[in-house]
Amino acid sequence: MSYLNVTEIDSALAALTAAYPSLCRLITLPHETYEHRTCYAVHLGTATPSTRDAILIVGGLHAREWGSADIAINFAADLLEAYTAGTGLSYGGRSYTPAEVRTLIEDLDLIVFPCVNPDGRHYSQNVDPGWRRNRNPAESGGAPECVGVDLNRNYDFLWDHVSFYAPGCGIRTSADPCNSSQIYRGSAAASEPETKNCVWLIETYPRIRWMMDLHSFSELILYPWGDDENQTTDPSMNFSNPAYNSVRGLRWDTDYQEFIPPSDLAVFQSMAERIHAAIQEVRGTTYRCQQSFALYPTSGTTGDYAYSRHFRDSARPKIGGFCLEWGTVFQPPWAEMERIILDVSAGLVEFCLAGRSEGGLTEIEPANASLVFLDVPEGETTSRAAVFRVRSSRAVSLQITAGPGVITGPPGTHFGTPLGTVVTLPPVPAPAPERMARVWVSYTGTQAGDIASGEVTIHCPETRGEWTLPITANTIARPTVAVTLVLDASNSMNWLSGLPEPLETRVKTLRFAAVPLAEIIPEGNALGIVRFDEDAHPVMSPTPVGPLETGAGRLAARGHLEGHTPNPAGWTSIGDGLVLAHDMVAPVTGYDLKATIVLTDGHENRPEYIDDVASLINERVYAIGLGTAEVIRPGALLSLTAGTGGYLLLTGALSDDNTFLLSKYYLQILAGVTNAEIVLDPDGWLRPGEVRRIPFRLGESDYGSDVILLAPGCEVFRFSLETPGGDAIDPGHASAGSGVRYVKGKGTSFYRLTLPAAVAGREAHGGVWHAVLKLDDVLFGRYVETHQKRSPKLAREAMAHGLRYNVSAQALSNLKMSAAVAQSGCEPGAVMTLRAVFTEAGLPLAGRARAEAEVERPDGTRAAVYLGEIEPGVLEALLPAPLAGVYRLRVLGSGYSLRGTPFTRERLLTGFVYKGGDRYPPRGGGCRDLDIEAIRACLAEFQGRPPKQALERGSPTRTAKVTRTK
Amino acid sequence: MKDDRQGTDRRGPIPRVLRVRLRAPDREAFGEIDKLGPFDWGGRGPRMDADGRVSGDVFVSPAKYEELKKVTRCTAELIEDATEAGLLRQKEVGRGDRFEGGRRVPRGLGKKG
Repeated sequence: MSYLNVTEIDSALAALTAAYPSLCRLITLPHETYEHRTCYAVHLGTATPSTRDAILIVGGLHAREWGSADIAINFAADLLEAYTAGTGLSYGGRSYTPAEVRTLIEDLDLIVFPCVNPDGRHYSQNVDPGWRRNRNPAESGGAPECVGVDLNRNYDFLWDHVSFYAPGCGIRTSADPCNSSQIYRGSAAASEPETKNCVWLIETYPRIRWMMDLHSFSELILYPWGDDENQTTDPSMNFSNPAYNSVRGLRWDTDYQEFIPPSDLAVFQSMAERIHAAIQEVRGTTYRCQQSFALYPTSGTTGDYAYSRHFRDSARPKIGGFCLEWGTVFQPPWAEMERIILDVSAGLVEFCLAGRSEGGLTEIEPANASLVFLDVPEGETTSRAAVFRVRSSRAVSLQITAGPGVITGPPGTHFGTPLGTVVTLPPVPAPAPERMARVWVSYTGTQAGDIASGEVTIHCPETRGEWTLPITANTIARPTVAVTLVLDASNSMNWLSGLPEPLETRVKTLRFAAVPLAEIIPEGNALGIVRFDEDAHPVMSPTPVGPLETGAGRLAARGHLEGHTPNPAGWTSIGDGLVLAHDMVAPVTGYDLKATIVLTDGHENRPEYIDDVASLINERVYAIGLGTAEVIRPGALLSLTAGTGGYLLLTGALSDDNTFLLSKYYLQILAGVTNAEIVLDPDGWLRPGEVRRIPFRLGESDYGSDVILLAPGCEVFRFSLETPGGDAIDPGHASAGSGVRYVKGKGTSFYRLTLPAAVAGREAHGGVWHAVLKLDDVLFGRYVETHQKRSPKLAREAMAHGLRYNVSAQALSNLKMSAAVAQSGCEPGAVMTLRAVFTEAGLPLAGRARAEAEVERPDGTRAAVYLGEIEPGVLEALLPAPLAGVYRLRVLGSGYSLRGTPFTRERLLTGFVYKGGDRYPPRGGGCRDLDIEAIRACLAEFQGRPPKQALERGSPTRTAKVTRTK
Repeated sequence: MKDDRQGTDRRGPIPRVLRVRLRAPDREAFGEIDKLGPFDWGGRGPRMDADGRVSGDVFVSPAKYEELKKVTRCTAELIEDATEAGLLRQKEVGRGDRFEGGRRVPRGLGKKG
């Protein structure tokens, strides 16, 4: 064997392509040389190019360094033969396993371009063995010694060395075509077709991560940079900075040193050491590893150009550009060249394996140019992420080094860092997928109309990258809602509710539950009312409720709710009610949300049916079923609510223990549409003389709170609050200026807090608050006396047990728990999926929240179900539903906020299954169409007894009445 | 893919180039050499050892070699006649097309197995 001539190089590539067609593809380079030669490269690999990371190996830029092309072709031939035979590969004392060979062919794209400069090689091999350049005579002026361009000075990296380097720095580049060192840079950057071919490869194969440029001689492994000594501390001192043009390239100075990210330098050094070790193992030859500049200052070299592309345009992949200077002379005797081929081939295999295991140099690119907090409601905190695309298999950190600071904005403007100031991505196996790193910044809405700006600076210690992102924010008024209550007025609303006096009928239960809505709904919202039997009837168009206690809309709504009376001959057309509510709210403008809350105690039996009108409804719909699943047959309601953001709640059969259930449903829905969270929602009894202190916790994420007392004898209660600091708030202390309001309504009274509140000259906010209840002895006496005449049973109950109450502590909060139940079906045997999602300022509360659900099954048995975290901040549990009926679910959330403050949250949910539940919608008929279970349920509802008992004891006369009226 | 192009052959004899090893005791002395450049340093530039001595191989004409020999405090040692060595090496370049236009497959020198 002997050195390849240029014809043989082309033939060798063609032969490899023909012999290994599935592994080796010929690449025809687009730019012909001056002597009209077409250049070829090969792509080695089993997959379509550009589906995996690629490594580019080029050789023969310098004509006289003949062995480079021979090395590259030998390397390709070895890999293809070994892979095909399933063998390993040995070079002297260095061996590679079959698996390692497979890795190179199967996990990488290898692009081998053995002879970049065939014209020069041909000339060197046939005429002047010392020829270095290509054979372009354009600038020679006819002088033979002035022909050609040094291709390794022709790339677009500081190409114009006269402009970019210090005079006298000793740079080995020349603007003189006749320079005796043969280092003429060419007439322009990338002026030469051979250079353009290499650039074309880099741009055509965008997944090239590494490049090796083979040269001779000196037995060196070189890595960037070549223009000056490396430094890793000052990113601004770089080749793109014209401030350093007069000092670049000087040796042994500190005026200028080229910036290289420390993580890149570490990888370069590590890979170079691996190459060095592999070569040494072949036969003991020592190749030294060093920065290119250690040779001499250069400009326009292949390796620096490849590596610099990413720094000039971060959208370009980062390419680690190496150069290997093999041997000790340009053209060793062939026998020695063969030994060098073994040396360098081992180095190349090691280089590719190292490139595969490293995956690539670290690339970080910001995905957003700014942080925009658009329309943040007053008091609410929301978060935006500075997102960075990270490509690295190594650990990468991003840290806020300045800000987030306010540049403009009203007093009180604040940008926060809810998840801290440092984000670290852990190392992952190469090839690393693109990962996203997010550095979160928060903004809290101030006053409506406020505009603010700021900036935050984020730094990556591994790359020394630094980005300053502008921040803009504006505050809007809190979102408002127009709520329409759609109330069942069919005759069955006159029937027994299952609750004790004074809520013994369904309509009384409804009034007790709905009236507080008119009193509690915050100012700025609107309330409308529709009633329906077999037709729908407008009661009150959506009307602004106005101020607390005195608002005209509020008072009117309360009056209508108190006067809600069923139609003794009324049937049920839920669809009619929905359509009318939709028609009434449709023209209403100025509200951010429109919501409908429909309540029914039976299934629809007159048109319009829900399914007929569902496509018209574009409001958020909540539905409450007052009764059992068998009677209400809530399949259509469930379907109606599911797509709107609302949900369905069923009471099931009510009993003494559920006095406040419907009230809770209404309050929870109201909280939902007004963005409030239920913190705590306990029921209890209170006897005269007792003082009940009910603790609830508010945190720094809460910016408002309602503490609501519900009780049929509400006027008897003395209701006060106690701050975490122990200061008392009673109705006499409440005033708008203190951030505390107190409202006494009918069946309810509540405190509305703006947090922090000013109490006793102190600020009250986070910590354990208490709702303090006791009964007024005088009023209690009157209560008993009054009811002894009207309802002796109620009086006896009060004397024995005291009065029932419910306290609901709600919070306007940035820490939110949403909860939902999804069912696999509506027939017994279905599986319910409970899901609770915890967020704070829009961020998942990963690993900080717990949730359990208290389950009350249709047969009255209870169980606790614990939800497990399936993804950050998302907890889930499965619940089988073998029994027909309503499953009441009380989801209790707790945990710690991002600042480590404890919190609690509650949410009521219901699931249901019943025989025939998957066969909705039922239409028409009323009880005449009911199956035996439904008839039992009808009777039970009519008589206020459990179903079986009702059927056994129900009289034929009453059954007939049910049939007629429902 | 037989290459039968004529190429850009130069007129007249090719210049004779010598490989010369330069040694200077320090940077200052080396500066005297550098003034006679620019030089073709091959694949490697001058190297400074830990004791401050500077050395390196250059490819120069015989006339330049004579100049270099005259620099005080420095030595210029003739390593070889690079042109002569290169011309000799041209005899080790393949003739014709051993891969027969792509019909014969090249084998790498690595040991498979």
